[in-house]
This record gives sequence, C-alpha cells and structure tokens, in this order.
Amino acid sequence: MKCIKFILLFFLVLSSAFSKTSKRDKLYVQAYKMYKNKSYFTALDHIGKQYRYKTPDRNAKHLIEKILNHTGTHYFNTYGDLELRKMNIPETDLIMAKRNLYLKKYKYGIKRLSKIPKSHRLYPEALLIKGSVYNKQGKFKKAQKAWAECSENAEDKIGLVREKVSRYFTIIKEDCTINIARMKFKQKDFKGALKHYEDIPKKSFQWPYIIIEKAWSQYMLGNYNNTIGTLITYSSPLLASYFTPEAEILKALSYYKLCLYDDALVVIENYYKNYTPKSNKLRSVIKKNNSRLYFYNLMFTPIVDTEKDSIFLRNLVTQVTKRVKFNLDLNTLYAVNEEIIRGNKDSNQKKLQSIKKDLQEQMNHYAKVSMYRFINNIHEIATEMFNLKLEVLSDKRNLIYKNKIAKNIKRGSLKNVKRQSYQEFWTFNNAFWADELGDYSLGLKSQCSKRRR
Amino acid sequence: MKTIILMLIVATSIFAKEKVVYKYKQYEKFDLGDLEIKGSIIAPGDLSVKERRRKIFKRKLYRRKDFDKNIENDIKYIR
Repeated sequence: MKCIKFILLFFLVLSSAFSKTSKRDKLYVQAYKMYKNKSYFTALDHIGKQYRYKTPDRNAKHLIEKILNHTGTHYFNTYGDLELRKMNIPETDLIMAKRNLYLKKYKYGIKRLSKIPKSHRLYPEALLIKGSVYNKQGKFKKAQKAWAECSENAEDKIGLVREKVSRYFTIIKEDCTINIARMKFKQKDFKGALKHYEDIPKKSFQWPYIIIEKAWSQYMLGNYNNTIGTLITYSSPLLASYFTPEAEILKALSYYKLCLYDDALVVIENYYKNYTPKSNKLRSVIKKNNSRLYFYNLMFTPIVDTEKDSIFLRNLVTQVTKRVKFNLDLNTLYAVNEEIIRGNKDSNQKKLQSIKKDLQEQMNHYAKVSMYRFINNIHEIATEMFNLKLEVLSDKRNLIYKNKIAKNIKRGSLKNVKRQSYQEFWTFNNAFWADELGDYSLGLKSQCSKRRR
Repeated sequence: MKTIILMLIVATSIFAKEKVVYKYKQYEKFDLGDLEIKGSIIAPGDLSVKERRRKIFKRKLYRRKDFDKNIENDIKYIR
C-alpha cells in the first residue's frame, strides 16, 4: 500500500512539474509571437512576469534580451534586488551594479559586473561602472585598467553598429577617457589629467562640460592665465546654452591668485548681476509648477515660446534635452506610443498606458532635478563668491595700509603665456576663431611680487 | 594627707616655667637716600610693548579636490 502511495505521489509531482513547464513553454511561445508582431512592451511584460522569482532558462533569457533591444531597460527599474538577481541577465546585472555603486556596496557591484560577458553590447558600460567602483575604493590602477579597456572596447563596437547606437558607444568611450583624466586629477597628476582631456574631440557632445575640468587642472598647476583663457571659451556664442556658475568662481580665483584684485572683484560683481535674475526666474518657474508633468511639458514647448519667457530658461531646457538619458527615455516613450497606436490584438493597452505614464513621470522628475540642481549650484557658488570677496577686500586693505598700491600696471605680455611645445601661438587681434575654442590663454602679468606681503 | 598636698604644690611651683616678655625696638630710622643697590638696568627707560608678529587669518577658498560626483552623474545620465 505504501508503495502505491509513493508511486502516486511521484506521478503527482511529476505531472505538476510538467504542467508548470508546459505553461511556461506556452507563455514563451505567446511572448515570442508578440515579439514577432512588434508588441515588444507587451511581450516583455508577458514573459517578465513569469520570471520575477525564478531564473529564466536559456531560451527565455535569449528572448528577453532580444526584446530589450527594442524596449530599453526601463521596465526593470521597478524590480527589487531579489527579482533582479533572479533574472540573471546582463541588463539586470548592470542595473543592480549601479544600485550597489550608489549604495556604496562596492564588493557586490564588482561581483555583478564580472558576470557580463566580454562579447556583450553592455560590456563597455559595465567597465565604465567597474572603473568608477574601483576609483571610489581608491584602487586607481584597477580603475585605470577598467576604463582603458572600456575605451578600447567601445571604440571597437562603434563601427559595427548603426549610427544611433554608435553614438551611445562614442559617449561610453569618451566617458571612460574623461574618467581617467578625473582620476589623475584626484591623484594630483594635473599634467596627466590635461593630457587625457586633450583626447576628447572638440566636436564631442561632452566637450563643453570638460572645459571647466581642464581649467581646474590648469589652475592647480598655477597656470592662471591659461585657466582664464580656457574659461573664456564659455563666452563664445557657440556655447551660449552652456553656463556653469563654477566657471565664474574659478575665473575670479585665478585673478585673485595673480593679485589682480580689481579684476577679481569685477568677476564677482558680474556673477551677482547675471545670476541673481536667473536664479529668481528659475525659482518662479519652480514655484508656479502646478501640473503633474510641468517640467516634462516644458521640454516640448516650442523654442520661440520659451525664449519669450526667458532665453536663459530656453538654454537650460536645451542642456537637459541634450543628455543621453533624456533621449533614451524619449526613444522608449516613442516606442510605447507606437505600440499603443498600432493597437495589435495581443497588445496589453492597460499596461502600455501605465508604462507611458511612468516614463513621463520619470522624465518630468529628471528635468525637475536638473533645474533644482542648477539653482542650488548658483547659491552654493554665491556663498563661495562672498567668501572670496572678503578675502580680496582684506588683501586690498592691507595694500592700502602698506601704501603699496601699484600704479600704471602693465596689463599683459606675450612673455606671460605658458604653452606646450605642440601648441602654436596666435595673437587674436580683432579675430575670433571657432576652432581655437578652449585653447585661449591670457598674458596677464602677476602683480604678486609687488603686492604680496 | 596635708604632707601630700604640700608636696604637690611645691612640685607644681618648681616645674612651672618662668614668663618671658620680648620687647622690640621702639624706634628705628631708615635713610632711603643712603641705600645702595648693586645691579644693571635691563628694562628700557620709558614704557613700551614689544612688537610681535601678527597672525594673518586666511579664509578657506573654494577648491576642487576631485570629480567623483561628476563620474557618478555621468553614469546616471546614460540611462
């Protein structure tokens, strides 16, 4: 009797296992059909739900990855750590590694990233994150190795993919190169940092953002004329939409280091004149945001209308919309919309609407955070400017007490221009060359020998 | 009994100390002009404060130590 019971139990377990497998197989087939019908988001949700707490088999993993090529990884953003770990595909490993980096769980981050195969399209991005983790840990040699490999790997992939995707690999490649420069800066190897910054082409999307970093390296080397010259690049009409409050304080600091106190004070005064209305404008924008998607809608308001309101706001919007994340999210949103409009019989319209709503809220939040970050930055720098102003005034007062105010100061000379052997020199008298952006230098004579105590 | 009391009185009178009265000089004269002190003058003649090096206070000015935040933000900006 016992034997019969055992056999019955065995068959029961076996049949339930088979039924589960066959159910999964059925779902896989359904998801695959949806994928073929271009109902990508519905297909992802259909198959993704089945593997929330179970690692997918090889076929399912393969299908999920194929779908993700069309949908992006947004779907998994709401997954918890356990669910992501169970999913066990490179895309989810990457999301987990990023979370671990932000939570300072470096060991687990590295563990996740090491799982991503070399041949995978996300491998360069994994190396970018890996290098960042090592940098945080202070393992600089390992960080440099990871970023150098990332740069090479991304470069190899650029020529193999279509243009839109190649742009993604270009950004990854440049990010890795810039990060090496940043790490050199952290190690106080400022010449090494400058060398790596030079590897970023001027046509690059990233280039305007690294001008300030290059200027910091020049400043730390004591090349104050080069620092001011580099920062003057932001005054070019070509870079009108880029404004960094930090550039202003660096300029003022450089004048201060050259003991040109009046020039430093002019920069400080101009900062308050220029940025106070900008800050007020931004504050009023933030205050009047009543609708749920105010910032999202602002990103799509016609240029003419935003310009009418404020040119500065228009430029800030341009900065946000140029970011890769914004564009990737936008592409995903377009893809969701397309699927909604297509209205296939098998598409899950309710789910699609919910994904769309979630994406819009995410983009709204991203734009909002960018603007808040900017306004906070203006105020932080304003405090630092005030501090510097006190120092400048104090030094000026000391000069008056010692009766050492220099008269007829010589403003500049070519002798004061420090340049590398590979750099050519042009006086730029009545000239403005766009291709020389970022390589200007002033020839101001330091007054410190006369003035410093 | 009377003898014992007598002996005690005699003994106490023998052991009792004699009362001494000290008397100080009732008058003494000091001639300050006649006093002579040997030594050398080390202080300057008029009142003065020795000049010391004044502490120069410097404010901590804005300075970049690293770009770690930018590295993290760049990752966030990708996706």
